Amino acid sequence: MPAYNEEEAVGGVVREVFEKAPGATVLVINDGSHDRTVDVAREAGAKVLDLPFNLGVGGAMRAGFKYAERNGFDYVVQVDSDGQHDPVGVAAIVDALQTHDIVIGARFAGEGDYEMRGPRRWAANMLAWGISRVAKTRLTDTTSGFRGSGPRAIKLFAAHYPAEYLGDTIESLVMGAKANLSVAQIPVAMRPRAGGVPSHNPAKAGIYLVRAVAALLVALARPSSDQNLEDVR
Amino acid sequence: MNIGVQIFSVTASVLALVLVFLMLRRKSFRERHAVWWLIAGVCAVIASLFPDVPQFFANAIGIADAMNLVFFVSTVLLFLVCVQFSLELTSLEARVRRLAEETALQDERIRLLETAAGADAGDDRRGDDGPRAG
Repeated sequence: MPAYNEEEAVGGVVREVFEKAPGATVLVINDGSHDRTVDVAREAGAKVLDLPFNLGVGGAMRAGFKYAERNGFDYVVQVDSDGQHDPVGVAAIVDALQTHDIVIGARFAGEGDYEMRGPRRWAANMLAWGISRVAKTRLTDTTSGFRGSGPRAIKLFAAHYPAEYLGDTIESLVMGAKANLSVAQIPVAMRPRAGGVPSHNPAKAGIYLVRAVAALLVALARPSSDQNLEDVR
Repeated sequence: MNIGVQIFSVTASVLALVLVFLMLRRKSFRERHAVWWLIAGVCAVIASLFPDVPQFFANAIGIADAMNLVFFVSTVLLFLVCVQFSLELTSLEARVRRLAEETALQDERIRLLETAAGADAGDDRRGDDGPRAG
């Protein structure tokens, strides 16, 4: 559960996960928050990785995957710390992980009442189309942050989870597909965000469209056995 | 070339070369960064002392104005240096990122160990920070 300045929501979300997904270990990765996210999460009973500064969702997730790998966890389910994802879907995602390496909890797959419009919608459709082709399965919601990873995916992501813009959603899927991991999606319900409203600024949405497509193209162009950035010389 | 212009350009290029050399001597930057600036400095000194040298190369390649050759070479050099910086920046960022992850992971492990140790011994786990009184 990557968290950045989520002291208001994170406590409730952690407790809800314990309640609706009994037996799970909750790991909150504090992505350099300036508020009491760490304390609130620990009080709620979560384990906490406290990153010294903000690395972005991708960086936070890679730290989380490393934790999972080193502590022998077989399944990782990423849940937003703002309460947008209903933890009731965790069980369904873990079920699907028995047969697939990566499972996406998708917003448009029939459940819930999540709606996007304009360029954001186009971007989502274009990404869904592109990644569906790479992953050789029909995906409708590739930018969902509600997703699960099995043992093979954890191994890959602990070493190589992309930290760039949109890497946590788009490039991670392309990377998984190129490493011959199987991808599936299952429908999950989404709730409105606990705090803040999604932006409907068309200019921002347009820029998002361009960046998303660029991110997809770059991800597709990368060689499948990606070397570590540290090793570039 | 006008003698005033030549004095100006020789002074400027020698100053640049001396600056690079001093920085290198004080270890303000590493050799592999300095190498480009040393090459640039030496070329600038030669070109300003002997304006016939760039003129000769310009004629050989077929560039009418030697100045254009000088601009072209400096642009290429700056471009290469920028590319090198981008590469190094990327690799440094990746290393910092990995260190940040490792510190967070070790922090959590230390907490776990401390909690376990504290539960075993039943004493204050921060008691070992300094020499004990008594």
